[in-house]
Amino acid sequence: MISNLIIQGCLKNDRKCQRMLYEFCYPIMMRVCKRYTINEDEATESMNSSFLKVLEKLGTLKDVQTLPAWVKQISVNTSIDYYRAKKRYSERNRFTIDTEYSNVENTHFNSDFTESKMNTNEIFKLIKELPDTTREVLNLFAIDGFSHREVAGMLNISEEASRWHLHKARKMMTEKLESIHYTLNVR
Amino acid sequence: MNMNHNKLDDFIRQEVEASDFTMQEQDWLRMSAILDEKETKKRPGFWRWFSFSGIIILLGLGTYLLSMQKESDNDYTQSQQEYARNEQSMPTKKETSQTKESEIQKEEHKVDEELINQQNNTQTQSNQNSNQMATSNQNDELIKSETSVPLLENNPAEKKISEYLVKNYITNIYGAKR
Repeated sequence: MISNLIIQGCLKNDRKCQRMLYEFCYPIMMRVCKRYTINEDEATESMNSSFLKVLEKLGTLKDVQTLPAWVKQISVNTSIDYYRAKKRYSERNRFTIDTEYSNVENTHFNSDFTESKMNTNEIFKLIKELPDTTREVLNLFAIDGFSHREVAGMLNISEEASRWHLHKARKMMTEKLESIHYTLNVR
Repeated sequence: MNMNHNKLDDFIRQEVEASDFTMQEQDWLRMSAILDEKETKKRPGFWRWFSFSGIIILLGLGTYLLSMQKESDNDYTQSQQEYARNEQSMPTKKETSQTKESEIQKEEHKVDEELINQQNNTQTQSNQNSNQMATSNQNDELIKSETSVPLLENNPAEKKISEYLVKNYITNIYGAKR
C-alpha cells in the first residue's frame, strides 16, 4: 500500500516517489485502459494521461485507503475522454443503430460461464475485438457498474442505444467464447 | 436470460480483475519523459507570468506618471491665469520705472547727505586736531621761549599752512570714500 510519505513526495515532484506511485497504480490503470482501447500503444497513452491526472489531482485525495478506487475512477474517466476524442476523428463508428437494433432484439443466450479455463489477459483480446461503442458500453455497464443513463451521458448516446450496444456486446462475447471453446456448461 | 446475462457479466468482470500487470520499465521511461517535458514547460510559464506582471506594472506606472503630468499642467495653467490676473491689478511698467527712479534719487540724496555730514565731521575733527596741534605748538613755543627766541602768537602763515593741510587731508579722505 502507498504511504502518505510517498504521496507527499509526489506532491513535491520527487521522481522516486512518482515512480513508486506509478508502479502501484500501473495494474489498476492498465486493467481499465486495456479494456477501453484497441491496442497496446493506445492503452499506454491512455494510462499515461490517467497518471498525469492522478498526479495533478493528488492533492485532493483525502484518504490514502481509497487510492485504488480513486485511481480506477480517474482511469475510466480518462479512457472515456480518450474514446470521445478518438470518435470525433474516426469514421469507423458511424453506423445506423436503429436498423441494427431491431435485428438483435430477440437473441437468446444459452451459455453458462460459471467455469472457465481462460488464460489471464485473454479476455482483453476478446473485448478489443468488439466495435468501439459496443466495447465502451460493455466496459461501463457490465464491468464498471454504471447505469444505462450514466453510460448514455458519458458516450453521448441515448439510453436505448446503450441497451442495444450492451445486448450486442453480450451476444458477440458469447459467440466468441463459444467459438474458442472456453464456455463449457452449455444448457 | 437475465441470469445468463449476469453470469456473463460476472465472468467477464472476474476475468478482468484476475488479470495481472507488472510495470514495464519502458512504460515508466515514457512517463518520466512526459513528466520532464511538463516540468520544462512549466518554467516558461513562470517567465510568461513574470513578464506579464512586469508589463502591467509598467503600464500602471505610465498611467500614474501621465496623470501626474496632467495635474502639473493644470497647476501651471492655473498659476498662469493667476499671474495674468495679478498683472492686470498691478501698475504699468512705466509707473514702476518712475517709482524706481525716484527711489534711486532718494537713495542718492541720502548718500550725498551722509557724505556731507561725514565731511563736516571730518572738518570738525581736523579743527580739533589743529587746535590740539596749536596747543602743543604753544607748549613748544613756551618751552622755546623759555630757552630761546620767542615765536609769534597767531601766526597767519602757520594758520594758512594748517588749513591747507586739513583741506588736503579731507579731500584725500573724501576721494578715497568716493
